[in-house]
Amino acid sequence: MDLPPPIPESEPSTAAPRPPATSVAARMLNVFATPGAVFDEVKTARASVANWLVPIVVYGLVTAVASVLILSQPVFVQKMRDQQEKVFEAQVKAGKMTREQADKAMETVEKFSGPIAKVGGAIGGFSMGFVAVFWWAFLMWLIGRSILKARLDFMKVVEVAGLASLISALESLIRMLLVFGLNNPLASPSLGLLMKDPDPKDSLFALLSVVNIMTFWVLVVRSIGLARLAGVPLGRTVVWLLGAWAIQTSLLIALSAVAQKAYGG
Amino acid sequence: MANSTKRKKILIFSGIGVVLVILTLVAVLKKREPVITVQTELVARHSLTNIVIANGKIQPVVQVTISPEVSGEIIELPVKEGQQVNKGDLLVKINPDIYTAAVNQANAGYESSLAAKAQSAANLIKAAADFKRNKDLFEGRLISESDFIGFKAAYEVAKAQLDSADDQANVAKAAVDSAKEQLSRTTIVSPLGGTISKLNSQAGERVLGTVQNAGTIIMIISDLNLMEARVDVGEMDVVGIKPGQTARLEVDAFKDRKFAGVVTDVASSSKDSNLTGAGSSGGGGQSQEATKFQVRIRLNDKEAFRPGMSVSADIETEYRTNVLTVPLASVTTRPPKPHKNADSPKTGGTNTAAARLGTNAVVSSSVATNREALEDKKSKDSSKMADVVFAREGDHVNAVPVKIGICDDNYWEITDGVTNGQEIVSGGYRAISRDLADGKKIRKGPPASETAKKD
Repeated sequence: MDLPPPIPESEPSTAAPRPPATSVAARMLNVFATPGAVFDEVKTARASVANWLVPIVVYGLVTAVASVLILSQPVFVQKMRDQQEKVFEAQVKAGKMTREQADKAMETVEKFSGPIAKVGGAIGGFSMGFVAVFWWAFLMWLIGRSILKARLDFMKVVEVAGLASLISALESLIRMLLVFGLNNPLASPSLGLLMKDPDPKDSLFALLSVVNIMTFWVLVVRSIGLARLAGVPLGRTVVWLLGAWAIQTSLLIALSAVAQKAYGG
Repeated sequence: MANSTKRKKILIFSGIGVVLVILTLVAVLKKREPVITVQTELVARHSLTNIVIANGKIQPVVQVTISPEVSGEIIELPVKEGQQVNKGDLLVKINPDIYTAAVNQANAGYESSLAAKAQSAANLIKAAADFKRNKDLFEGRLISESDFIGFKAAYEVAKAQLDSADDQANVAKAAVDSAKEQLSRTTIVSPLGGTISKLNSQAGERVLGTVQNAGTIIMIISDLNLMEARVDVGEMDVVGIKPGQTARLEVDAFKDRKFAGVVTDVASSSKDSNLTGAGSSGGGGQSQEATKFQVRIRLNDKEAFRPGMSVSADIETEYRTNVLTVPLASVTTRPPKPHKNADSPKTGGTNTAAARLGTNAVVSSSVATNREALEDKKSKDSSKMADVVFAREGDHVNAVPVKIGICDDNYWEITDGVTNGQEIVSGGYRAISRDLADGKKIRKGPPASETAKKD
């Protein structure tokens, strides 16, 4: 009996790409409820810039608006100033700064805590959307090519990452509402909410903040997208993307600790 | 399948919607007010001493400059710097030769004048005898009138010559006395008991002496048993300093000791005011230095002070006993609260404007004049900042205007505005000087420096 020919892994579809069956808006909404179906459509449809550009713009706008609104509240500006003052005081105590330098630095912080901070927050927030989507698209593409041995079109991965970023946009919105609701600029939909008076330099708070429900949600959606594009089981993509996220987060936390030690006294 | 997908979508979107609505409601309804971390203390009673700090030098109270009245070479100098001398001790001997010669010369002149005087007296006796004899002859008409007048004139001349000789003798006597006086001045003795604090000349040096001017300063004798601090006090502080006030002095040479003193003198004019023409004609009031007045403080304690030692004085100018005080950092300034009964001329404020002017001046019927005066006073009021402290009322603060009195290193005296035991904000510096205002929300906490230390 002849054995059936082996099914080649991750072979790109030879069928001609079809126009998408749903609109961009529908895909943006459906990614919350039925991401698998959305990514199946993305895989077979022709390349669409709208699939990634529109979600990135939405993500960027939501983050920018949230930053501006938070920085417009005197209570949060006050808390950030108090935090910065503590940093300068620590440097003065450690002998890395004189009292005069600390006072001058504080004056500069206060000078820039007004409109300049809001503009910076808006630009930073908007830019972060682009950076995050393309960074994760690169990671996903790299994992797909090198580990999952799938031949992936990079822009398709960008479309998946772009659509998944809508969950990050929702997280920005929820984070902003939590900040306003709890009067805490460090509030986020994570286990960090359990701490009454969190200190950003507290390592426990840093660890609890990492356990963020929205972060896991977006990781799962990205994993679904990668699994559908690569034609591999979901479990494999979840493991690899979770691993990549854990390494990235650890590196960021380590960098932050080093920077604190070097500059924060 | 489609139905289950639809139901799944409805569930997920409903869940997201409910979460967003709840969070939005909480965010909108929540009051957001900056909470400022402060430290507080209670108003308490303390005794305060107002202190004026001034720097200067230690100098002896009595200090005499020894300079000669006659010029010459120093032939004897039996003292040295730092030596103790008593009143009347020999200090300096100047070469007396020239002055001895002058005495001898004067004596000779005097002797000569005495001889001339004796000669004149003898001449007078002869002239008197001749006059008497010839007078008798003239009365007996035995000699002519012209001859008699001749003898009379000779008698008068002899008398005048004797007077002149007598005067010449007196002049010669005075010259002798003067020469002797000059000779005596070649020996200088100490006018007081003390220490030779400075010796400028050596034996063999020529010194210049005059009566009217100081001449060469040979040495300075000081009474080191009685020392005073001469300190410079600024014009803003000198008005509060009076003789009799106590002071604590710190001498650089005796770092770990404080000495007691009493103010004995306050200068009536500043140190620069005696410069006639030097400052006024040249710079015309462009002096860069602050105006200082010299204050003298007698040192009560005996110690090995030396003239010229540096000293810092804390002069106690005012005292308050058991008065209401607040920490120095608690007092700051804020614009005064606007008057609630501020009026405008339109609303019939003429009388009110006059009342605010605080005078019994006749209110002008001209509204424009009142408006001008009112606006002028308003602008003066707004430019003045009021002294305030921030009193804690629960989790808010109230800006309380206060009247301050004197202060020391730690506390301000408050004469009006607060009560004993009232809790007021005493830190942090930025909160008091800038952030706090009437009604702001606060919480008590450690200072930022302590928090940073803990971190």
